[in-house]
Amino acid sequence: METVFANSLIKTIKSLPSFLTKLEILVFLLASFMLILVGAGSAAEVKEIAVISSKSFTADALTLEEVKEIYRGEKQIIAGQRIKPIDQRDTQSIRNQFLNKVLNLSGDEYVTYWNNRLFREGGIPPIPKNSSAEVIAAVQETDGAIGYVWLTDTADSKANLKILLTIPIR
Amino acid sequence: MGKEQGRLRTIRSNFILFILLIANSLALPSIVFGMELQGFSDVTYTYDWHKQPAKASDPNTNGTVALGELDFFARANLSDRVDFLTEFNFSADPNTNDGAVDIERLQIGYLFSDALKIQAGRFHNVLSYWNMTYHHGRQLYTTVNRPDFVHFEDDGGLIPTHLVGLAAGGHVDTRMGEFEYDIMGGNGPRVQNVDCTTTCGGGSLSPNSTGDDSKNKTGSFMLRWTPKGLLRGLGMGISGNIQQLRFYEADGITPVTIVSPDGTLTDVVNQQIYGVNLTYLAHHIEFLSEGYQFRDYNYHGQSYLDYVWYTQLGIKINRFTPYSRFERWTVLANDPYFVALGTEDMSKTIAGIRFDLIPSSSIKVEAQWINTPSIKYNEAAIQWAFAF
Repeated sequence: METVFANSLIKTIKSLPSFLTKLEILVFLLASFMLILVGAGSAAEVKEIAVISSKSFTADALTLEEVKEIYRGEKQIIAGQRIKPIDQRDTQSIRNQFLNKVLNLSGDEYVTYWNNRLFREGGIPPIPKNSSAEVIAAVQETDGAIGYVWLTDTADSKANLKILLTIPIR
Repeated sequence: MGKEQGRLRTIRSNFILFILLIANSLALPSIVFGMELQGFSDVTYTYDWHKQPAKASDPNTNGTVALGELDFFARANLSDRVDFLTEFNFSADPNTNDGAVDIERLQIGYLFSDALKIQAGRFHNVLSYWNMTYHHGRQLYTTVNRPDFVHFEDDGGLIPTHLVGLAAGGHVDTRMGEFEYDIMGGNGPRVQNVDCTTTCGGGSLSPNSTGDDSKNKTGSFMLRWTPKGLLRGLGMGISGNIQQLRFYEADGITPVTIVSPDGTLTDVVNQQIYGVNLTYLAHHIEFLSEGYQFRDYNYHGQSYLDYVWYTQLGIKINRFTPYSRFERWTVLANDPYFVALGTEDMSKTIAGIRFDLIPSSSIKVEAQWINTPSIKYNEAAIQWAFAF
């Protein structure tokens, strides 16, 4: 009886290290998988909006406050250059994200704001474009134009663009 | 009978003309001759009751559906620095149904920087925050109408709302917030349509858009501060206007001597108007308040101080905005300026609710209680306003 018990104990002790190793490997793999999932998830959630201009634009960078003032029509000139803001159509998801993050306005509120402002003092309202590609093209072709697109959309045109500001969007 | 039929025909033809103009304007492309064209209009039902003495001919005591001003607004950027803006409107007299077309604004400007823009033309006077912010766009007002003392010159207003001449303005950003300024100078106004047959009254301001009646010019200024940070949404301003006024009969040429109730005779008034405004436009709250002091001097060494002010509060709850406004005028009975205009003390309380159908159209329902020494009455109004 004693021999059977001893043998069983020895067997258990012998098998213990290998069992722990398997558990460790399993835990490690699960943890890694979870981390990858979380990491991938957060990477998917954080996107960046790039405020862009052509290479000839007089400023090299803008602050968030300056971008806000430009899209509200309050800042019209930078370093002697007339600024022409380019907007995205309200059908583009980036527009709501931009208005919400930068101007703290909804799409309807932004339309109302500009209707009032134009009626009050004229000026140049942001010109809407149908897609990021059109915004990039307009920015490259128009002196003093600035626009906003997803940062990832600028990959193919970086040589001809200035990125004046990036705005993380969660 | 024939006269009545003729009047009805006139009403019908004017009504059709206005409907056609509205329909036509809605069909117009937004860009015409290189200018962006936009506009405002409204249809308003007004009913007055408990009006004493009641007048059968008063359209509002009969309950009236009125076409509001059909206001067109066009602008063009002639270059990066030069821009042009004009506003003209079609309106009709509610008593005669006669229509009129007015050039309300015509401005050409050069933008030197954000801190300086020079303009020439016909402007809305910077004296009043309301006048500079909402102009003729009733869709932009939360309420059915302007405060009464900010009404346009030809509609019973007490302060000058238009000015023809030169203007300079701009804004400067500082750590403390944004400072905005405007300075204007140009033709001084006159008071015309004054009738002194029995007692003087009935006059209205005219901005002298095409010819000045004296060498004395008018000047206006406005300085406004909008802080940043925690106080964002708040705005405070001071403003002023200096002018000399002469009085004329309906022909606009024949001078009139104003006879005040105390027997003082006045041909010319030197007038200074100083104002303050306070606004808060954030967190779904709309708070507006303006107050003005009139300092009127005649050439007999007499001076008169008069006050007008209003306070308005609205709270936006989704697409609904309940609102209220209180307005008060305190004018001296012998002030020749107010004698010429036929103005007396007034208090007016309004309460209403605005529903935003879409961003460019709204429906407002409003009740008003008006109290003056000679007349007290109530008014209800329903307005459908829109921008296009």
